[in-house]
Amino acid sequence: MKRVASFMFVLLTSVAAVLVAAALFAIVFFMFTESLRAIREVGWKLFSPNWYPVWELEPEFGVRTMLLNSLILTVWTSVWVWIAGLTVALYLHKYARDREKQVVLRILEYVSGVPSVVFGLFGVLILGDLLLRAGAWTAQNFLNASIVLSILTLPFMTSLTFQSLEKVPSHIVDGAVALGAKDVHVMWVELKYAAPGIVNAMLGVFNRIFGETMIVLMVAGGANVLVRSFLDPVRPLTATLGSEIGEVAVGSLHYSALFFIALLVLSGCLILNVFTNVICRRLERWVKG
Amino acid sequence: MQWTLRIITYTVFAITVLTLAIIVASGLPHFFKPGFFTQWPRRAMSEGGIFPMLIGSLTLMVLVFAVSIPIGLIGTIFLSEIAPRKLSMVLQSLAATMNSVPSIVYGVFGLSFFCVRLSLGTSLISASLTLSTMSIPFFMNSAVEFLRAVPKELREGVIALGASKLQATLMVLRASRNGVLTSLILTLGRAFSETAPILVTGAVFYTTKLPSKLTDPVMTLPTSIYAIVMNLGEESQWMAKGMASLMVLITIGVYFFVQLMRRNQRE
Repeated sequence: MKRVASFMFVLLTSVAAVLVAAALFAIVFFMFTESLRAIREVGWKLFSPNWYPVWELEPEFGVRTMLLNSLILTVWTSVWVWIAGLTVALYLHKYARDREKQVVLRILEYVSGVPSVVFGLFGVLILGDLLLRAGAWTAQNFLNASIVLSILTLPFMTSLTFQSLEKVPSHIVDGAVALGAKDVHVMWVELKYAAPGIVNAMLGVFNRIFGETMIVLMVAGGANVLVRSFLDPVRPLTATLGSEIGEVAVGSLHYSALFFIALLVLSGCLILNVFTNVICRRLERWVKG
Repeated sequence: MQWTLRIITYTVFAITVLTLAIIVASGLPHFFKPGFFTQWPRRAMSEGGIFPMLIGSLTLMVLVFAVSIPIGLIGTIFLSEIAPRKLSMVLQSLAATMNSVPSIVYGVFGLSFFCVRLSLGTSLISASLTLSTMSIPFFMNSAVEFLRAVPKELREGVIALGASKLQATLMVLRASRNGVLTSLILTLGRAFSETAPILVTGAVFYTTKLPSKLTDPVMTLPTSIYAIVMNLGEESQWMAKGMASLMVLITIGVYFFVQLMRRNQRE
């Protein structure tokens, strides 16, 4: 009896775990099968620059402009978040007093939990207004989206970097100091030692900005033109997906093309994941010798 | 060096805090309007209150809780207590991968699978299943650490006393209950704040009744904020501000509680 109960218990738990694994494969599978029609009928033209999905004569389903806008916005914003996050984490780790550390980390944690739609509201109603007053010609634009996205992802970068800096064993630092290293050199040694964690955080930030939907949907402006200045309105991949998927006829070519966009976003995320794992493992080997 | 870092840190920190403060301050006064929490919105959401959105969000949370916590908890037990090490590592990295998949992808998946393939339509049930698909790996990822942190000696001791696997597991759960509770709250907090997945699977801009069955659509706080900001004019914006401010306060409450738990655990 006891053995049967134990077996049932093991079976039940493994089913739950398998369910999670199955969900990931189901997601990949659905994105692929639903976008198959667009891939077959539109082919390479999916990567053309124009997106006119509801034009009756000659609908066009090109994602190139959106893809480039997504990448430009993500890279530009990530760089700022990386720099700011690293600085804050370094300061907290090296110089801040305990009390300071606690307060900053705690409040950053609050910020990390705030829903992105709330930041979207901030971008549209408050920041947009400020930008207009400062002379921008539209309230929702690249710069606005970039600022709001930075505020959203900064806590993530800071806390992960801080944690990996705190994990650097003290004998490493002491060793460097004993060899006569200056402050800057000590910092360099610590950064090198914490590199796997920091790179992990950096790529995580990149992934989050690339996949973030609500903010770009609300704040980026929604014009499908390649960005030329900071005040241009843009429309990244996820914004198109978020705004059109709810209103499209199920099974149409447009529907399928939207799934192709989702497939692009998903594969970008999965590739980045594999890449992160490989890089972090390499770095760990390099650091630990 | 120290001063450069300090100035940059303080500037960045000030901007972040100021953002939060502005959001809370711009919405807080509306809480005191009569009926803000108890009335239906009227006149294109320029008057009245946020009652249906509040109820919609809460209903959704209860459903997500009912689906994802049992499955998540059982799956976590499998990962930490039962699976062989290799399998457990593979499953855990799968869960970590799922965690980094953008939420809109879950939304699109939910739309094609729950709404269309299973013909559940734009409904409470589609939205909650979509959110659960997202929350389960999130919960497992954070809860498994807490189960693993239970010392090995404890497990071995219980087994040595003749306990079954099930009894041993219950003991481990009891030992790690603070941590598991923390992950549970964080999971719900995240599900509460997600917008994109329910925007495409279950939420509508406006309905005249509360959802009475699982196949009814709902109004929720985050999607209403989005709808008001994007579609309605200035006379409705106060409602969106009020809801945003409420969501920030709830978030702060959630994280405050989590931090409190963490501190208790350390002591």
